[in-house]
Amino acid sequence: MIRDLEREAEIERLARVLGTDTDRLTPLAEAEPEDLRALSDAIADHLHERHAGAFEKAIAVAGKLPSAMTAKLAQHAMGPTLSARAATLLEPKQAADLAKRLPPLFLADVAVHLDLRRAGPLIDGIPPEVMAETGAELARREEWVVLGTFVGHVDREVLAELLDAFDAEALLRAGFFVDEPQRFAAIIGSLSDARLDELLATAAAQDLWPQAFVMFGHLGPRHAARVIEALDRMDDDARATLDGELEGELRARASV
Amino acid sequence: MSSRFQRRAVEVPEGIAALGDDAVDTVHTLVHEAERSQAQELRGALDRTLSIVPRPLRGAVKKVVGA
Repeated sequence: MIRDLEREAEIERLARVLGTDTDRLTPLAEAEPEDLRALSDAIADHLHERHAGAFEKAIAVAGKLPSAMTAKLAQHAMGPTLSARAATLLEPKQAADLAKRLPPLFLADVAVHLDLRRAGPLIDGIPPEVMAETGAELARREEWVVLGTFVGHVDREVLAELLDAFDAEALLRAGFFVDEPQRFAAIIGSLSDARLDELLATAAAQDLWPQAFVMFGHLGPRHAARVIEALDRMDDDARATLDGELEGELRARASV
Repeated sequence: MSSRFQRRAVEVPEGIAALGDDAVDTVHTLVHEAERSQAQELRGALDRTLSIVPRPLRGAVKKVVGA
């Protein structure tokens, strides 16, 4: 099941890079997620390099104009896909200034197309409230892959603020797509006991245990022990939905 | 990998190539379409930029983009 979810996510990611529908990628339906990711990255690089001169000129134009005008051009002339590709060439300060001037709806559109391998360093400069508003919009759209990728790049202090904007379902579904497993400790660590209880109740109610255990499977003993305590607080019916083997693995992790 | 595509711009990972020519052809067709679409969007973006930027600044913009 986990591989299927990963494959589905990578097909979605590839379709986004190509600007096409997932239906057209049917011949790749059996590909391994890692191969699909490598292909997406290669195509993103190619499309960036194919018109690198044009993107560089767009950034040069931005440098000649007031920020408010640049923001207007990003939104109304470039659009989200081209803005996302050009944004990777911005200086962090420029990116932060622009982000403050753009509405969360547009930033969410840009985020969907942003290549965080290139744009990752820009993320730190974006004000936390802008990140949180954009994150909330992405959650509203159920853009779990995009959200998960962002969570892997945001500054640890901003992470807590970003997570406040997510309900338990969003946390579980986006958390599944976080590329950096070391982030799971920060995610679980930033949740209160009440939020952790809510996370487990949602996993039980919506059959999201696989997503939950992708997160829990990377925790160290301290955070695993907190999850075990939360499991012990669950009511019996909800607890019965959990696979005993997964719980056993977590208990072993907590006792290391 | 399909020999027809060995010199194409994007190198298809071996695992994708192993799926067969249909998969490889699909990738290259879609990459070609994405290139064309991006070129078209960029042309449109320049036109829209020149219509949005106030007249006194248009000369500077044209100079930068070489239009």
